[in-house]
Amino acid sequence: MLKANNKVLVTISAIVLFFLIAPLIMVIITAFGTDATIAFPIHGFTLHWFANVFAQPDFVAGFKMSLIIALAASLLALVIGVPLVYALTRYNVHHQAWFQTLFLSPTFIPEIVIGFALYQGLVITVQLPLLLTLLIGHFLLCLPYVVRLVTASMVLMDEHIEEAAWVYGSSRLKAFLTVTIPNIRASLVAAFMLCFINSFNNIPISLFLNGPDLSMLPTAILNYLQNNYDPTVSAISVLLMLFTAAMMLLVEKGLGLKALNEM
Amino acid sequence: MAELEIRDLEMSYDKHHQILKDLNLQIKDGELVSILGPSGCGKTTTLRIIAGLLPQTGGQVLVDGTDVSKLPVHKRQFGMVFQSYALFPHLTVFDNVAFGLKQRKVAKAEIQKQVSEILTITGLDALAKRFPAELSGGQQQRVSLARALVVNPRLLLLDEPLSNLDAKLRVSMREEIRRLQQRLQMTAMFVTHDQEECFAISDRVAVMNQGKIEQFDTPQNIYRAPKTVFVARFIGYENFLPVTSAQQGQYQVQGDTFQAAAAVPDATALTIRPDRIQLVTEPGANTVGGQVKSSTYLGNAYRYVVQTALGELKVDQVGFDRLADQTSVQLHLPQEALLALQA
Repeated sequence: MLKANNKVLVTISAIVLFFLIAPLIMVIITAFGTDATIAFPIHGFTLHWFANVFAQPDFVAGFKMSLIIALAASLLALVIGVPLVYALTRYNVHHQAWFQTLFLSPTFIPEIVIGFALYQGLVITVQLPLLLTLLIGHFLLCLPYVVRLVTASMVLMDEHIEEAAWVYGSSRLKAFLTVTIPNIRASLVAAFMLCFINSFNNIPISLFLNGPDLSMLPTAILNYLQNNYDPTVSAISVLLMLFTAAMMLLVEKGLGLKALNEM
Repeated sequence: MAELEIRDLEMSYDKHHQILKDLNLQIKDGELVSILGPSGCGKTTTLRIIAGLLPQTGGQVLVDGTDVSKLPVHKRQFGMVFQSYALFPHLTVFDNVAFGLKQRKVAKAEIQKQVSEILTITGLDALAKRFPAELSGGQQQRVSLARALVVNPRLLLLDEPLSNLDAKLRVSMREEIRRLQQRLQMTAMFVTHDQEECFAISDRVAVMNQGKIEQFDTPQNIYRAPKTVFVARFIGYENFLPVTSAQQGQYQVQGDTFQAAAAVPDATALTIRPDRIQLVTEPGANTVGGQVKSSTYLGNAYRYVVQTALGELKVDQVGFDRLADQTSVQLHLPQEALLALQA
């Protein structure tokens, strides 16, 4: 075991923390600067850039769309992924390992390729609506997180627990809902969080699947940055940090962050 | 409370490999029957089929004369105690025990009363509000038992319930199971690989080997008169003499003739307990000569390994001074202690 006062460890930790936190602090500071371009250190203090965030229709619409897609894709991944994992871990499915790999495969393919393939295959060739394709793309992004996390907790959970529920009068469906789900709750929460954050942050897939009426927040920020180098981007970054922190707080208050640490 | 009958039960996972073959078994009302056998003999498979957790490939499971084979597990109204306890981790002890009654839509006040009662009987009152993770293994198994007893099951199934407990707890827990089973007059089936455990609590024991019941009788009869080589070996007999031919209680063992307790026409081996072999001075009937090969002090006796013309025999002798290795001895195998076994 390493001692807590190990010098190498402390030094490396300090370096990591510095590179992680220092840029964030700089972003926060620049969000309040009065200069017309992002500058550090700042000269003067203003909240103008925060107001400007809400004056950008792309940002407001993008935030709403990203939120909707992230929520929908995460929930869809859970609704489809959990029964899938249940079948794979509780029934004698042929080619079980093959299926596991299949459902994890979106992780192995570069997201930019998935985005392009969906655009080419579904939007251009099959003429599927853009919004639906976008949702499919984000669902594919989310599914591996659900499969990985829920498989782990299903394997850890003693299957005799479900059998006991059946023996004592629960039908299979009722046992799944009242016994299995509460006992894999931690992994469901963790999977939802990871899905949501990854979908909400995603650029590569969204990049191919946006249009005049369909803009996601990360791509909107990217677009904005190409034309303007002003602190509005810093301001929206600060808002996103607050949003993520609020989400984590909500999960901790509502379900206990213990749930995440258990994973 | 009910009678159980298993008729010509067959089980195969892959059509080629038979796990169970023509299994027949009857358990009377209020009787505790054990299935005893080594791992892989099919005993747990049998129990799971009776519970409804596995569909059999042939044969019937009858409860009070009605075939329950088609009845789904949650409608069978059995109780089951699992080796891993299988308590619901997200429920308190009280709610774990109340689970079955809630599924049966029993009134709340009635649930409260019955659960409290069973918690008192099983000595769990003080733990009612705890969660399974906060209990010791013995306490968890007690909860598992309480959960099974409270629903007043038609049949109580116990799947190696004691094998995860330490030796001391195992003894007290098996006495507890026996006490409660008798007090509540439950028909019970107990699966185990532990001979001592199963003899201690069972009314009757079915010794199982490779998907077949080799002997089904009271513990006393099985111990006194095992029928087959497998049963004898499994319950601790160690001396086996291969029989070449058998006629009216006379058995040929490598040219020598022996007389055994009973006439078994198709006997393939004779067996005798080490402590029933007598050291004699003169050769005679049912007697074989040999040389002491080694000896071990057992506390109350010496265990000798004697090399004879019929093979090695283990002999326990109380009260003698230790015989030196290479000592020539005559071993008398008394007719009433020499048992003839089928293959």
